[in-house]
Amino acid sequence: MLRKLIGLLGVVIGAGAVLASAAWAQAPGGAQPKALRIAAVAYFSGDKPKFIGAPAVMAEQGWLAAELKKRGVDLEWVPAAHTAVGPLINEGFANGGIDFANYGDLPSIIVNAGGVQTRAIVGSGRGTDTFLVVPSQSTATTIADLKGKRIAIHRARPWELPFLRLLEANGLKYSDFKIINMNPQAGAAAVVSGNVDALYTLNDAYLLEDKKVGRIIWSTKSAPPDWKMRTELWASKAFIDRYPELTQLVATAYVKALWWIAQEQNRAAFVSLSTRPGSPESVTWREYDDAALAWSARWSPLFDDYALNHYRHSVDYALNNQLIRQRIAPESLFDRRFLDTALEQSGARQFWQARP
Amino acid sequence: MSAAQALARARGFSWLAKPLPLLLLLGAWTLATGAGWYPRALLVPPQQVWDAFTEMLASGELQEHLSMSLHRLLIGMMLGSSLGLAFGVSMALSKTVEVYTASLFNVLRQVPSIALIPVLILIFGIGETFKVLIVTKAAFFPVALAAYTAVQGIPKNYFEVGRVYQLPGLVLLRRVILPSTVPPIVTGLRLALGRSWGTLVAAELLAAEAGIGQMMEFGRQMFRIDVVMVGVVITGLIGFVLDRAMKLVEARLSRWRPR
Amino acid sequence: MSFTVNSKNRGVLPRGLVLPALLLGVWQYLSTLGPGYAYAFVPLGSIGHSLLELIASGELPRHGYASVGTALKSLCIGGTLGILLGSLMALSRVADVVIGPLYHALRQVPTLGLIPLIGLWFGNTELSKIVVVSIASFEVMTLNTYEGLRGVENRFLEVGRVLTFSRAQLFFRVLLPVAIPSITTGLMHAVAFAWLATVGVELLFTVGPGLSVIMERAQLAERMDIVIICILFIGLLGLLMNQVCVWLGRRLQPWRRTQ
Repeated sequence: MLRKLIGLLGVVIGAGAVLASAAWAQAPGGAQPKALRIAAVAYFSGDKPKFIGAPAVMAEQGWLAAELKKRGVDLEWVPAAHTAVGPLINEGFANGGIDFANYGDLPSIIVNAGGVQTRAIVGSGRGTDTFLVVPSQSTATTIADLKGKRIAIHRARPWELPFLRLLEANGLKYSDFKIINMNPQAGAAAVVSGNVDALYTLNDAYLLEDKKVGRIIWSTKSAPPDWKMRTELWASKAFIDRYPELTQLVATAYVKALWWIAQEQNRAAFVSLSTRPGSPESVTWREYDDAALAWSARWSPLFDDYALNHYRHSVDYALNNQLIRQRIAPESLFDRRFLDTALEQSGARQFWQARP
Repeated sequence: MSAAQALARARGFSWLAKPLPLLLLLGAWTLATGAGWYPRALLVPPQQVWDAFTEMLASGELQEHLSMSLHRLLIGMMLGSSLGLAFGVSMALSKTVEVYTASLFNVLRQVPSIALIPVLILIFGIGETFKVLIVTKAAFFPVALAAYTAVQGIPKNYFEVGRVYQLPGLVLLRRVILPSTVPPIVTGLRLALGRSWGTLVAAELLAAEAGIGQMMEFGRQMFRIDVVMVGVVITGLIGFVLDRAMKLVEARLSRWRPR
Repeated sequence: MSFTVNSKNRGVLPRGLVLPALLLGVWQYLSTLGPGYAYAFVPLGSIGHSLLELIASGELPRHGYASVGTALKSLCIGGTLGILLGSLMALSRVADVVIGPLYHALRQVPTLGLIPLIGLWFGNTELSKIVVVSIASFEVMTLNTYEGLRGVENRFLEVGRVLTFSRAQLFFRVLLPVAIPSITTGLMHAVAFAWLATVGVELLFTVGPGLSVIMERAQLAERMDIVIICILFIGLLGLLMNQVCVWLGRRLQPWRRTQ
């Protein structure tokens, strides 16, 4: 008798646990969510995360936090370690752990193709440069020299797209190399120790050059402008549908931040705020040193043809290289409603309309 | 009629007993995804996992990753077990060896193999070497311990009996020593195999060009949770098969045990 | 079956230290051979220096404390659940038949291989780490409890029945005491495995404080000295926890003085 009771109890507890987890997975909010969570790239020094770019400015300005507080909503910044931004944020959107994210093009395409709906609500400029680095003692000067060699690149990160374009422009394919999937930090260490023959990554390439352990042999600076990778402010579609007013607040705050950054007189302060820990500010200055791209244009939130074309190409590349399995309509990735109002509310409309 | 009696009545269906719970789990899984209890991105339907499996099988990708992992496992196991066997036996046979190495052995045994991954990467880089070495370390200690215990455990009177009957060395080995030592050593090998497989998968998740662990990590980066699940199922299956195979060997050898 | 290599001789400690001392000497010598060597075989002086630095800055205690915390919290959760399930499976034939095959199949999946899935479901947080390490502890405790209770020889149960013990008395006065050795051995294994899993989750989810987290960062920063210090402490803490279990085992089984 006792045994049967124990057995029954076990079944009940088990079933209860399963149902509870299902309910938790669906996790709806109330009229207002308790907290609004924005994920952004963070560099960890010790245990403290440091945000960079527009999110850092948003946090500094404090406008968004104040507005949300008035409505009884907390603002939570979720750091995504730069070593795995894409997967971490995608998982965050998938399990409902974040509502907004400031991250790149390819991971967003991947997550949407994977069935989790997100929308770009504000753009973040004309793009970021990426670099091909080799160990300083290497004799390679072009990508063709590296044929058959080991190249470290973190797959499914935004810079895989410009890398693919580089290969294609030179008539090369992935199978012409040994591609090693490593996060940027590990990749840098591997270049230094000579374990790989090249690394494709972000501006941490400058760090390698400064330490004299690496040499940049190619970058998107010498490529057509739309080769640069893009980041936008993305929001989960479920959140947009449920809380459009809060979404508008975030969009406006973002545009305000971009407007502040785009002022030439704020450039120095911004570089100071936005340099990753352990890296000298000169690295950031060098990345932004580009005659072809005006400082204010670099921070334009507009979704123009430029942005749309970029995503059209990106979806094509991703599909052709089996990074995604089904096509998604690039136009459907944008939700422009909030941008217009944001430009109005922040008084920045004239600023970017006037400039190309 | 108690539940046990009811079960005994159903003995005609006893062949169903083992797989039934797993089938029920599969059914529950299908139901949960079909009914949309969990978001599809979080819990992929079994059908999708199966599709990913057949796709990777057809493209040869799965076989490539699997053979790389198994290859590393094999080499590491061979190295680790042979070293472990030699060391364990020598520790058991020679008091001197034991006294000098026992403390160091016990302390090193406490360091989990995966904790050595960073240091091995620093020294050997991210190639094949460090993975094989990790497996070697993971296999070494269980086998050494089993060999030591087995040889230590041979009752003294076996040797007495051997001497009394003036058995030649070879016969003594075959009829006396091996039957009482081989079974526990095989158990040690089984444990080592299980440990090594787990350690290898973890190492591959961290850093590899190919292998089951890398396949899972890449799947994660590509947000292909179905690929990750294929990896989970396959690693479990391999672990199960390896364990079962060793258990069979153990069972056959234990018939050999002197009563 | 957890053995340590025992040596009953006195004076084993000093002799046990000979080999480690020798190895340290060889290490120090190698570190003087040149910069390439010094990279891998960091001079003992610099290791000592970094050690003091880490302790003084509070880094080492903080991370060590966090790692041990993770392991212990998960042990409580996973261990308790494991004892419960193990007992259930051992006591109830129905549970054994229904849940048993499921458990044995799922047990084969390397726990660290579940990390990509757990990361997806629970986020890249402390919670995920605890979930994974709890699963690891749970698997071990279940198995040991199950086998311990099942292994209770019938004659003990006979004695109980002869003395007309009630079901409850049978459980508490006969089954449990006889199963305790297995359970405490299980605890020792669970501790070892939980510690291993803690190292693994910290290496793979590099979030939050933890010994292996700083070890991973040190590896990327090419600080071999910090990596070595972390390995040492991981081993020491593991040994410490193991010894606590052994001590606990002895306290719980006062009638088993000979060990």
